[in-house]
Order: sequence, then C-alpha cells, then structure tokens
Amino acid sequence: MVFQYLIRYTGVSNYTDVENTDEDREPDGLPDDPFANGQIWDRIDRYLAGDTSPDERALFEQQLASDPEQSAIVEQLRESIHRALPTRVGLDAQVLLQKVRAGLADEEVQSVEVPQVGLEADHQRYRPYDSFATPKKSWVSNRITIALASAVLLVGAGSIVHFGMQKPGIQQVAMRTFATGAGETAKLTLRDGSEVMLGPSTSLSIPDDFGKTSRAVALDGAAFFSVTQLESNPFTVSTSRTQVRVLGTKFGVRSYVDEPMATVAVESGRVSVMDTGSDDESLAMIAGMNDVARIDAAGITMLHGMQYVTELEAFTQGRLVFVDAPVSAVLPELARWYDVKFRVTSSEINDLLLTATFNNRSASDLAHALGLVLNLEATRNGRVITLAPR
Amino acid sequence: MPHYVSGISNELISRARAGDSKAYDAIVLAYVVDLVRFASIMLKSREGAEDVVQEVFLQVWMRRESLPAMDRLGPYLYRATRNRVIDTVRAETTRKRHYTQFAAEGDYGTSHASVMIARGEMEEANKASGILGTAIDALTERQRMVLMLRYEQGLTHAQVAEVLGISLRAAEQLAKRALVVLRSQIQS
Repeated sequence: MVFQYLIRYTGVSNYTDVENTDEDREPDGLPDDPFANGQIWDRIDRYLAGDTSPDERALFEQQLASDPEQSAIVEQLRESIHRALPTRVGLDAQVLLQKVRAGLADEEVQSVEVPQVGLEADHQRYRPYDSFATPKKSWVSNRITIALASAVLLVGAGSIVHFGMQKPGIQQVAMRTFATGAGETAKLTLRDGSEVMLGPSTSLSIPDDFGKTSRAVALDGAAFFSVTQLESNPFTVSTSRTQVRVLGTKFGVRSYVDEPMATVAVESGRVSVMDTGSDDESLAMIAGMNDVARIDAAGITMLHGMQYVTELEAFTQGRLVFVDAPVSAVLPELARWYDVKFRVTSSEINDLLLTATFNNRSASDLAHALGLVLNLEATRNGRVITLAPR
Repeated sequence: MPHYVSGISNELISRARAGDSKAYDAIVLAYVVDLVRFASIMLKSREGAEDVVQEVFLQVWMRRESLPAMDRLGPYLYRATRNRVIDTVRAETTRKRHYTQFAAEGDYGTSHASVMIARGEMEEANKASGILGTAIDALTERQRMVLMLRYEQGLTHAQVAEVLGISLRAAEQLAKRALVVLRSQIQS
C-alpha cells in the first residue's frame, strides 16, 4: 500500500510524541509513493482541515476522483479522525449553559461580598485559641446535654453534644462551645437559620451575641456549614489556621488544631479564605463551587473537584472511607474516630495501602477488621490496638 | 469536516465585551460542547471536563473586555481550556502525593471518575480500560488534540501551535504524524 514507506520511515511502532527532532524530518522523495511526497501531505492536510481556497479544493477533488485508491485513503482518514475524537453524544449545549450560568450567578454574589470592615476585630476576638487546647476536658467536666434557646440540637444516635460555658476571654466575650467526642457527629441549627454538621472530635464556639452585629464562630475540627444568606452580615469561621468568610453558601471546613493542614471545600456559592498565619488580607483567596483550599505552613493551595466536597461532607456525616490510603495516614484518623491508640511493631506496616469504609461507631471489631483487610496480626488491649506482621 | 461556529459575529462579541449576558450566552452555546470534548481528551472524565469548562467561561466572563474578535475567539477559548486543565491536573497531582484519600461510600465511583489524572497515567488508563478503539490507543493525547483542532475545528497550524503552546513546525509535524498513525491503523 502506498503509505507503507512513509510509515516505516517515521517509525510509528515506537513512536514518541517529542517536538522537532532531526528524525522527524519529512520523508523526502520516495518516488513510487505519491503519499511520501511532502506536497501531497500538505494537500491532504489542508483539504481535511478545510484550509483551502475553493479553486484548490476543486482541483484536489478532481485529482481524487481520478485516483480511487487515494480517494479511499482520504475518506478513511476523515472517518478515522471522527472516530478518534470524543463523541458529542450526551452533551447538551443548553444544559451546559445552565451550569455555566450557575457559576456566573455565584460570581455575582462575590461582587456584593468582601466588606473588609471589622474583619480584623472579629478575627482577634477568637485568638488565642486557648479554649481549644483542652476541648475534651472542658466538656467532660461539664457533662450536661441541653438544648439551648439559641440552638436546636438534632443529635444522631449515640452522639451527645456537650455544652460548656467559656471562661471570659481577653475580649470578655461570652461563648458557648459545642463539642463532639471521638466518632460522634452532631447537627446544630443556629439562631440565623444556618445549619452546622459537626464531625468527630470537633468543637464549635459561638459567641452569645451571635447574629447581632456579626456572625462569627470558632472551630476546631471538621464541620459542614449551610449558611443562611444575610448580605449585611457575613458569616465567619475562624480556626487556628484559617479564617473563612461567606454571605450565604454551603461549605465544609476541616481544621484540627493538631493537624498540619486545614481544608475548606465549597459545595455552592463562594467563600473567602484567609491564612491565619498571615495578617495580609490581600492574600485572601476566593473559593467557588467545587473548589477546595488547603491551608498549611506553606500558605493556601487551591484545588478543584467535586470529590473534595463529597469527601469532607462524608467525613462530617460520620463516614470514613479510605481508598488506597497509606496506613501511616489512616491510623491517626481511626484513632480520632474510635478514640483508640495504635501501636505498630514494624515500620513496613506504615507503607501498606488500605481501602475500606468505616461507618460503624463501635471499636470492638475494628482490630479484627483491620487485621483481615491488611493481613496483619491485630490485637486489642483496652484502647490500644497493636498491629504486627503475621 | 471543519466545524463552523454559527451565529457568532463581531457585533455579538462586542456586546458580550460590554457586559451583555445574552450575547455571552450565545458564545457559550456555540462553544461549550466542543470545549468539553476537547477538555475530555486531556482528562479522564467528562464530568471533570465540564467543571473545567464552567471555570473557563467564568474566567472569560470576568475578563470579558479582552474577548478577541471572531477569527481569534476559538483559539482563545481552546487555549484557556487547556491552561485550566493543566492547572487542575497539576493541583491534583500535588494533592495525590501528599494527602490521604477520602471519598463518600456511595459516591466513590463517580467521585473517583472525576479525579483528574496526570498525562502519563491517562494514557495507561485509556489502554487498560479498553473502552477506546485501537486507533485511539495508538494516538497520543496531543495528537488527538491536534486532530480535533485542525481537522474538526479548522484551526490553522499557527493557531494550533498557539493553543498547545508549541512551535509552528511542531504543530505541523504533530498533525502529519497523527494522520500517519491513523493511516497505519486503517491498514492493519
């Protein structure tokens, strides 16, 4: 067939997609192969691309008509190009337009947002984070479960929301702190109608004057917020690592004081994310739908993808799912979840990958399940689980 | 084969530049499907491609005063899409290195499908999945982009070069080699 010379020449079998190298030179003059001729290639290229004058086009079509073999090749190429490209099936321009419009609508909200006044004042009010240094102690000692006038508590089975009166801080602002224990989740409805889902080992502090002049809360842990829109009164979430400001939107925050990284994921609307480590407000990042901001020692990193939102939401709802996660990362999470400690006898265990779902609140068969999944000897002694090679 | 975008005029583009959202809708309608297809060449999932294109139109709207004239609009949008995909993939790759993966139990399938996969992995994933035909297996991601831009969308080699951030000569070579690969697949 006519193409064979050319194909051999360019070495299709071990083809590499590098830019101009000398081996990539055009085939020059294989006399009995019309397609090895650079000019013909150019014509096919331009003909298929529609990059011709009407005269050129007519001429080329005439030529093809007189050569059935060439003509067949060109038609097959046209067909192959079509097959090699992604299909239009299932893509509706109108539906996609609606999606784009939804994104643009969120953008409009942002232009109303970002009144910078008073931000620093709110910000200072919840620092330092002494209150979070011993969150468990505070709720253990005040083990009272109550429903506050300011908050309706809808508590899942087995979960208890504990309430502790904050000692008056430096700024003399009284706050209430809601805390969940290991493996517990809880749902709060705030005075302004905003809903908060608290993840495990999480505390959320709400000032008594919440909603009056500002809507500012302080968080240690993971929570998913569905904020009622109040244009005159932005909602602020402060943690040890980040401060998040919104008007009305759905987003999740995960920021444990003992973890090196905080995460903010946005389900809808737009939020402004600031690194607590930096006082420069101009460094605040705007995160939109399906954006996630990660805040660590290096600053703020923005990523994009719906899965991040889903992950954070699942986490706050009490489901722990690991997919090919290294054991070294899984164990701290499980320890927090089940309120247990892990002992690993061989460092190689840390490198194993785990894929599993945990939505069971009981620690009793955790050791057994881990042993099975990882093929390890897992023994539990009180709240300590030891993992060893079989 | 070139796909001519209908209904777009310089007058319409001027209106969009001035903030006419109806005019902008018309531009979105004309390009959105093909941009999603283009992004899906680079990304594993169509869902991820849709998210990218949504972001592209958002960014373009925010900088609408710099919308180019009709003859440059296509290359401008394709280039913006490619850049956004690269940013997304880069961010995803960094994340994968550093962080544990969580995913909702029931949503795992879809959420994982929307995980952007870096180039090399993408090629392998395509081959392993066997969803794509043999002709596509032999084509690199960049060749498929060139096939789409050049032979379907009718861009000039210079415009293809601009979209892909490569030299004119490289764009011409890529197009030719893509045709050669297709030809060899037809024969075998």
